[in-house]
Amino acid sequence: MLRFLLQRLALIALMLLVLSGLVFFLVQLLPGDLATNILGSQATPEQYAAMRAKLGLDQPVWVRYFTWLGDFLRGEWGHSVSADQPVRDLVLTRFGNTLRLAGVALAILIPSAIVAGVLAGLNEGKWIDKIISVGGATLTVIPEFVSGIILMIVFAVWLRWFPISATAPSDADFWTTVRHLILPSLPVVFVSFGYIAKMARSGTIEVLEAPYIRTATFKGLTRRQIVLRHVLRNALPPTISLSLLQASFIMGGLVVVEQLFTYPGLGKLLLDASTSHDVPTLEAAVLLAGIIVMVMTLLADLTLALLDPRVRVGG
Amino acid sequence: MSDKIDGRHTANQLTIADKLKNGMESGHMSRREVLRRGSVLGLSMAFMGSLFGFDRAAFAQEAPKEGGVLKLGISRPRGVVDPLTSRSRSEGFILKPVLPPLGRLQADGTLAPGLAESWAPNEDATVWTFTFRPTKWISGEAFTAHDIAAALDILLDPASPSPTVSGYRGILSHGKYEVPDDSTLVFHLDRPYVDFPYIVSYGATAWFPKGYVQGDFAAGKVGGVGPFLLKEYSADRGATYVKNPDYWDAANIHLDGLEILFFDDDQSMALALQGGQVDALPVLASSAVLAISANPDFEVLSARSSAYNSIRMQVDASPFSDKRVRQALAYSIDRQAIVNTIYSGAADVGNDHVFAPAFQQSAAVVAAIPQRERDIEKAKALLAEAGYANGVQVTLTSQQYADIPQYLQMVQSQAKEAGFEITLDLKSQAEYYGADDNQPWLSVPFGATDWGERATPGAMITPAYLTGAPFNESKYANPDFDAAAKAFDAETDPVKRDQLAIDAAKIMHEDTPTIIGYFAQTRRPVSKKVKAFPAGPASQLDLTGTWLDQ
Amino acid sequence: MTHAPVAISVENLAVAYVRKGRILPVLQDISFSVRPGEALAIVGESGCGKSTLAASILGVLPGNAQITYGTIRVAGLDTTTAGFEELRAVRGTKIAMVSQEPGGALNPSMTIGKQVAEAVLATRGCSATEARARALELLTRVAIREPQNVARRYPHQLSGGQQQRVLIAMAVAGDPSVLVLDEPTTGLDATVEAEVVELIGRLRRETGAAIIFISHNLRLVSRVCERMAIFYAGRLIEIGPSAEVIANTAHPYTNALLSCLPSPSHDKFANPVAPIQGEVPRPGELPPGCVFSPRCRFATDACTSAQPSLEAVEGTADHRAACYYPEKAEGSVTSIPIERGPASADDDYVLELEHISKRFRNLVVCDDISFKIKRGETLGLVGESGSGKSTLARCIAGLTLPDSGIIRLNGKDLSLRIERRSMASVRAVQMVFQSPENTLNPSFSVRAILGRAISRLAQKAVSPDRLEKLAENVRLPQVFLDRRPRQLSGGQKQRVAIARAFAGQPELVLCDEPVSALDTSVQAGILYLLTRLQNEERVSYLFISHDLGVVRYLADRIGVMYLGQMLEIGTSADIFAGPRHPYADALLRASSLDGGETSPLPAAMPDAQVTEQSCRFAARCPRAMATCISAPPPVREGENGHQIRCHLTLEQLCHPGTPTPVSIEA
Repeated sequence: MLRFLLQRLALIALMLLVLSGLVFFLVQLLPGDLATNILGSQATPEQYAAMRAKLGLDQPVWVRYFTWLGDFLRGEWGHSVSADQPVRDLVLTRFGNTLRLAGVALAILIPSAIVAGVLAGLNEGKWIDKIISVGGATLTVIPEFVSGIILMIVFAVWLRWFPISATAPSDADFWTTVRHLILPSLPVVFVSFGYIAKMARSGTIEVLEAPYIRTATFKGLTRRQIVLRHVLRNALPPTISLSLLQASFIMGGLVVVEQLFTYPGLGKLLLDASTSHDVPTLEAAVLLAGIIVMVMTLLADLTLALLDPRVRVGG
Repeated sequence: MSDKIDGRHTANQLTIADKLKNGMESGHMSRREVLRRGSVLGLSMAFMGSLFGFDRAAFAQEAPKEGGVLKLGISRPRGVVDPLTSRSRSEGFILKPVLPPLGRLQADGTLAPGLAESWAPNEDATVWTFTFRPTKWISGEAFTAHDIAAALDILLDPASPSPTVSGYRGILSHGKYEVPDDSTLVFHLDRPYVDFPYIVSYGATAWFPKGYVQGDFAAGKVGGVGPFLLKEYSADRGATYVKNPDYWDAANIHLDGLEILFFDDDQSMALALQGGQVDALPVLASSAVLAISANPDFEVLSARSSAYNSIRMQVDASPFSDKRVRQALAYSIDRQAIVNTIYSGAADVGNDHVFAPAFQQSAAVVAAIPQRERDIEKAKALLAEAGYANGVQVTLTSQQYADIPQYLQMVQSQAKEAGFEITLDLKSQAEYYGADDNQPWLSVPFGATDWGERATPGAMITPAYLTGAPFNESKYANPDFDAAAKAFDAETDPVKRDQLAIDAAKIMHEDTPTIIGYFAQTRRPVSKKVKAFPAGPASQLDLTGTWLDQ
Repeated sequence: MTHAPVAISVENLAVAYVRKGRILPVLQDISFSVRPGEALAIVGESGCGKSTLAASILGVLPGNAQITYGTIRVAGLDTTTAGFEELRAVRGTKIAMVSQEPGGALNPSMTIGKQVAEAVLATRGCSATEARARALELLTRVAIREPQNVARRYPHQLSGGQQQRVLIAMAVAGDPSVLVLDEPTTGLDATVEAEVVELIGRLRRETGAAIIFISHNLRLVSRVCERMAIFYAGRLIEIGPSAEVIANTAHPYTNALLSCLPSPSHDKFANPVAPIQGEVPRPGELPPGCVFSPRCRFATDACTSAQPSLEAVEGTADHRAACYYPEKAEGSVTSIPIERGPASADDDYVLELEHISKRFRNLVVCDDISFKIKRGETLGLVGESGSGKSTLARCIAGLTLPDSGIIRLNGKDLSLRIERRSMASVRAVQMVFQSPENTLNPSFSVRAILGRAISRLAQKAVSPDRLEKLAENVRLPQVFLDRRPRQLSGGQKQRVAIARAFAGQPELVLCDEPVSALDTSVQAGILYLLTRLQNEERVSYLFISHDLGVVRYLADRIGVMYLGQMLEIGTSADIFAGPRHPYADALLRASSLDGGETSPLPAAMPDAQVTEQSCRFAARCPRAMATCISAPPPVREGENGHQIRCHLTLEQLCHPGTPTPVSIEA
């Protein structure tokens, strides 16, 4: 297990290195540069040249890359020129914000999708199954910005239950903060809901057909005992593990949602940093996002392993 | 300089007032025009009221209610807002409630006293004297003219990245100002400039105290001279303010506080207004305005603006090197149709010169130069004269930004009838502006560029149309035009000045280095419970007199 | 113990499946009853409705099945109409079940102890602590060693035999008055099967429960159950005391089933097993009249017009059969002898193995194996799971690379790596597996599969003639050529697999449990086919099976493997006559081919570490001595190349003496 873990971590490190190089060189292909971005389109060529020299943009790409890499590895993540903040503070703050949003999204998504999926699985073929299955599949195909705007119109403009801006005042208590995050998290929840519910449903159906469910029935257990102790126990681990994979998928949706709901998260930062050629910020944000995705994948594998005694107990 | 008559105005100003009075009485100028011109030259409202016989207070209809917090939604400024780096409208909105401009520009074009109590030019408008009223910074130190001088020392440094420097270029140089006493600042301009008070009151520039250190604003360490005090600022969420009881005009600040929320997306900003999360939006893209204008709970305020999208033709490159080809294109487009289609009428038709309806001289210029209407026959004839009887093929390079693609597509199809085969090459904004040696917006023979709002016609002309100007994208070069434009900036006599405006506009209109089809208006959607909200100008937000009906 | 005269009674039961709007009867007119303490065997091939019967009794029919008629009474409750809660009240206490596939029937994510305790809690009101204690008692009762240790484990950590014992422990937790066992020993090794059967017998005596034992193995159930009921195509066609049914068979199908099972009286040439022609009809395709009539050689007009009812056989008390001609039943089968080909030359070896060894990490799976196979000869390889039989076959086929050793084909060295083997030697050595579905590409038709084999193995153009001849050779009807594997039955798929192996005229075919997954009548057909092909093509077989009966029937010589070692090798006759290795003796007793009482080995697989020095079987050997642990056993040479690896002399092996007790230290 330890060896497996070390191998995976080494692989993640290698992938992050490749990712950092790729991002650095790809950014060079985007039109414009940081100096243009700072000075605006109507500055004089002298101003550009001075700014470029100040930012070190007059060095060759690879020199800049290795300078950046060396600094980054030493923990000096640089200064975000576009946001005028240390990159580390900026990215970590944004990362914290995204974690909060993703946390709310997952806290809504995983229990609701799993409950719905299990319900559908237990009632296979009945109307409740059909509603959940068809509903889930429909929600999945709605793009985040469409569902986001619809949710805004319905819950923020008409009903006024939730605010439109995802950012709560700084003195807000926990529940106020969560209330601000519910609306933005829903579009992301929608996209993954159907998928996870489908996993939970098919997992439940598969387990229901397993011989050990019959065994449990023959023992004289109540329906409730059968579902809780035998069905869920075996249907959920793979579903939960797949849900964690979805967690990394959610990252993509957050870029859209953070923009729409004006939420200063990592996804929004990625977008801003790439349009403004703020390479140190972009790199740090991409690497952090990359780490999330890879760690989530690893966690998914580990959860599956830990929840399954066949893998856990030297099988 | 201090030879003041009636305790406030200089003899020079009284002369000007006299000329204005003549202009109005001869029917040359409307009352509004007179107010605009008088205010920028430093004539007080009270003085003008008594001189011209009207009372500004008569405009007020309802007795304002005191109290309440006004909530505004603006697009999120990038990074941490600071007066040292401020360049965008959003940054200005955040800074100016605390750090107000020298003069407060109103939607009608008049300039009300701000941080500066009064100002006056010398006879040839090369020397301007600004007088400040005593007030204090949060730190307890007195606000003095030295603070403005120190700020200018920083902002006008040629190496400064601040956009302020380009706005002052050729008008005021680094160090050309003096402080005779704590309440007086004297500017020595590079050339005569009648619109100078606009320059120091416009843009994103916010003044700051001597010894200011970057970050002081965000930390709440400055202020005290504006109508509001910063209570809290977060680069992520927005800013909150409380009323400054010590503000000189506190009696006309009816709000208890102000809250500004950031949005990343126009659509969600519009929804936030409709959802009641904010009360007004100082800036909103025309596409997002549509849904709100249908809602009876909201009002969309409009103000004339000088911003425009140029369709400029480089005068040294074939086929546009022939003036007739440029004119032919100008005659081939239907301006009113474009205004109606893209802006639902909320734009003013342009006549291929920069004297926008927002400027004082607009009325005179409009009266003097016939509006170019669509005239396909004329366009065809002009093209034929220029030797393009069979039409001409050109590539129009521009950017995927705001309403530009829509505008250019309409131009493309309208001009086709006259014989123009236009191919559109729409790049990303970053690509179109580029950097260093590769700046397509300056180099392509045929392009379309978005020009932002400017305070004065001179501020429009100087960087873009004078011979050899740094951003002369059309490579326009006409000594007569240059002379007329410079004389315009220097002329204090309002009537003569109008004539110079007409001269310059005529030359530009005739030469047609650029087609200015329209000037889109500033649109401000506001909840109806907000009263006396300023309709413009787009980059300014003077909340004096604004109140909440709740 | 209950004194009610009948523990369970089934009356006029009819069950049907509804599929695509059609009603397909699976069980019709079933009536029987079982008294407390009595054991009734339900015997029949796949598709006869055995599992549907079990599901009906326990009230767990799938949604698309419904009971169309009849009643099932258990403890005063009619399970055909009872709801979930009513059934739940009797489950575990009145009626319990042990399902097939013990691996799948245990919850993989729950410890054994919890699962058993749960069964205790569900059937009697007691505290959790008491339940845990009772669970340990139950595990002890089903002869699980170290129950505390086992209770902490998860199902995957137990052997198949242990899993089955756990299932039985759970089933008897509530002292049920009826215990239904659905194929409880399928998939278990012969020795383990014997142990489980012995356990069931003991529990029956202890609890007095009525037992319904469902199986396809007629001979196995006859040892445990005093009565047996034979099912065919959803009907009960014969029922009576086991001994009576076997001795005086009153239905041709019963007789045919018996004839299918290889027994000492069979000879693969002179008196081969006789497969039943045709197949069990599917539900919805039942013939008119007697359901067996299409496959019965005595069928008359009467048989094809009406289904005979279950009538008492003349001169017996409770032996009944559903046949118009019960007296003819025993003559229903005639075997078709196969003409024996020329005897193989003494030194004409197709395959010679020398010192083949293979380890997987620390586990020795093949330990210095050497043997030879003559042309046209069949070497049977027997041993429990994990003995290394399959690995050895894969080494020969080149699918697994042995660590060391020499393989010779026709006297010439054969590379251990398949990629270095010539096409001719690849063609010469072919393999047939237990599950043909895993080796036949599901997306190809049979014609494509065989065509590919012909062009690749026979290096010949695929002509329709050659293809049809190949199919004909394995008695695969032409109509199946255009079907895909999933459209074929298990037996048909195995015929395709055999045809593919024979496409290139092989010299050696390695058969790895080729009939283990098949019903007895289908198995008989494959055994007959293999014998005929061997005779015609002069091919040699290495035949792997855990079924000693099948191996005895088919093999000329037999090798007995245990934990990677060849414990004994010799001619079939010599091994069955003795002397033989104590392990071979145990296997033989477990399969009870000699008709005697089964006597299971005392222990399951050894927990004690057997060192390199000791005899591998020492830990389980009933005759183990001190030397067995300290020294490797010598190889005893008998007649006809008979070799036995044992410390006991041939003389001692011939006369089983008192086992020498010995303590084995871990």
